[in-house]
Amino acid sequence: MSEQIMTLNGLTKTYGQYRGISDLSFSVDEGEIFGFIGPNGAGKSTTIRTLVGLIRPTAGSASIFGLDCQTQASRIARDLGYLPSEDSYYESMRVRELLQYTADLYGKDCNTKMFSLARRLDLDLSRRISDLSLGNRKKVGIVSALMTSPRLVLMDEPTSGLDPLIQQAFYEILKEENSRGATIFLSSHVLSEVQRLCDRVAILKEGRLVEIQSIRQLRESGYKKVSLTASRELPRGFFNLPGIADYRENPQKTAASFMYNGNISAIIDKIHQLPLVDVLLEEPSLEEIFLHYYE
Amino acid sequence: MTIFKFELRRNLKYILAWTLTLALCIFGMTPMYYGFISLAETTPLFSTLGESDFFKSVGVSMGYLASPLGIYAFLTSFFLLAAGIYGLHFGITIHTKEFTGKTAEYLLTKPHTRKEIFWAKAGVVMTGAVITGLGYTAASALSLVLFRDGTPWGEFFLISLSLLWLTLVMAALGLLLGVVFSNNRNPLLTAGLIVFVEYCITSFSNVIVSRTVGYFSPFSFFSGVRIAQNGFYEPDHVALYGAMLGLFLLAAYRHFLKKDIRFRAS
Repeated sequence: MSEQIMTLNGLTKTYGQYRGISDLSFSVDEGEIFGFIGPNGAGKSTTIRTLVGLIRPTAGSASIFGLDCQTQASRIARDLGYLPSEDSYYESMRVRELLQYTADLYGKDCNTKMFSLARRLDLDLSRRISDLSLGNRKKVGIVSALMTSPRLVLMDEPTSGLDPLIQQAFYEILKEENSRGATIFLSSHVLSEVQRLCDRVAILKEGRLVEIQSIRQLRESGYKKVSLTASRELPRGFFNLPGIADYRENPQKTAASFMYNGNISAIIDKIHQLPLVDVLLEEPSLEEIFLHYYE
Repeated sequence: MTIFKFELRRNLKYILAWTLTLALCIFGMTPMYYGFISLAETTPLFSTLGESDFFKSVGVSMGYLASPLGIYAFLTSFFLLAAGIYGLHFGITIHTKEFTGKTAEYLLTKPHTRKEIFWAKAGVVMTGAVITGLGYTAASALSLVLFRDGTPWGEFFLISLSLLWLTLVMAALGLLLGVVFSNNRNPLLTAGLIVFVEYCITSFSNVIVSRTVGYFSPFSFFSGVRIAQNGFYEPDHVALYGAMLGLFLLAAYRHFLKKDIRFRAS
C-alpha cells in the first residue's frame, strides 16, 4: 500500500462570516496524480494556500510528508513545487534571473532541468517578466515549480493561459515527473484535463468535499447517457422514471437525451416500446457527471 | 542570506539615491547657512526671529544658532524630516511591494521560514538606514572640515548620528505598518503624513514646553540644544527610543509569523 504523502483532517478556513473551506478530510497517496476539481469559488485555491502555509486554518490540520503544514511549511517546501493560480513575479527581473533566484532559494543547481523545461515549453529566458504574456508567465511558474525535481507538486489551475500545443507538452512533462516518482496534486475546473491526467479526483462544492473517487469509479458510477430519436412524437411523461436526470427533448418532441442511473434492462425495455429511428447509450463525459454533482 | 542579498540588490538604487541626495544637500547647505549666520549679529531681523516661536518650535534659539554647531543642528532638524520619510517609506514598502505585486506567494512558498524572510528584509532596511546615516555624517564632517574651524567633534557626532537613529526607529515603525497593512498602495503618502504629524508633535511640545507630549514623537529625542547642554542624549529619551525600536520590530515580527498572506483584488 502506498504511503500517504498528504493528509487533511477537518481542514476549515473561514473569513469572518464568509465561507472559505469547511471540514475537508482526505489524503493523497505517494506517486499518484490527484485531481481537485470544483467551479470557481469552490475553495480550491484556499485549500492549496492553506497547504503551503500561506494562510492559517480556522480549524483542523493538514500535513505533508508527515510534517504539519503550518509549523513546518519551510521544511515541506524543500521537497515541494508550487504553481499558484495567479503567476506574479518580480517585474523588473529577467526570466533567467528569476529562475536562478528560485534555484538559490532552494540551494540547488537546477540549470540542466531549467534549460530543458524552458526549451520544451518554448520559454525565452532572456525576456523581462514585465514583458511576458499570461501564458508565458504560466510557463515561468511551471519551470520554477518543476526545476527542483520536487517530491510533491501542487498546481493550482496550471493550464490557464497556455495554448493547446504547450498544454500538450505540459501534460507530457507532468507524466514524466510522475514516472520519476513525484506526486502531483492538481486543481482545475477543466475536467478533461483532470480526466486525462489524474488517478483520483476530489470534488469540491461550496467549500465542502462532495465526493472523492478514482476517475474509473467516477465513470462507472452507473450513469449512462441516453440519446434517442423516434419516428413520431414521444408520449408525454414517457420517461418519467426514477434514475433519470437532465432530461431534454427537441422542439418537435421526437428526440430526447438524458442521464440514467438504474437498472439498464428496465430502460432498454422502455426504449424498446418506442418506434426508434436511432438510439445511443454511452458513457457520459466527466463534465456531465460533474454537473450532476452540482445540481 | 540569499534573501538578504537579493533584497539589498533590489533596493540598492533607492538607498544610494537617498544617501547621495541627503549627503550632497548637507554638504552644500552647511557652508551656505554658516555664511548667513555671520550676518545675524548685525541684522536685527535674525535676532527677532531667533526669539520667535518658529525657532522655539524647531528646538533652537538665537544663542544656540550662534554656537559652533548651532546652524548644523538647525539644518539637521529639517533633514530629520526627510530621513523620517525615507526610513518609514522603506520599512513599509519592503513588505507592501510583495503584496501589491503579489510576489509574496512566490517568496513565502520557498524553503525559508517566515523568521528568515522577516529578518532578511528588516536587515536590508536597517542596512539602508545605516548606509544613509553614515553617508550623511561623512558628508557633514567633510563640509565642516573644509569650511568651518573649531568643530566640537563629540557633539557633532551626536547631532549627526541623530539622523541615523531616527531613520532606524522610523524604519522599524515602517516594517510594522508594512506587515500589518500589507496591501497599502500609497506608502509614500502614509509615510509623509505620519512623519508630518510626528514632527508637528515635537514642534508643539517645544512651543508649549511639554516633555510628556514630546515622548510621543521620536523627533523630540534628538534636540541639538539639549545635546549641547547635556553632552549626550537624555537618558529618558534613550530608554524610550530603545523601547520603541524593540517594540516596533518585535510586534512586526510576531505579526508577520502569524499573518495570512492575502492579496487585495486588483
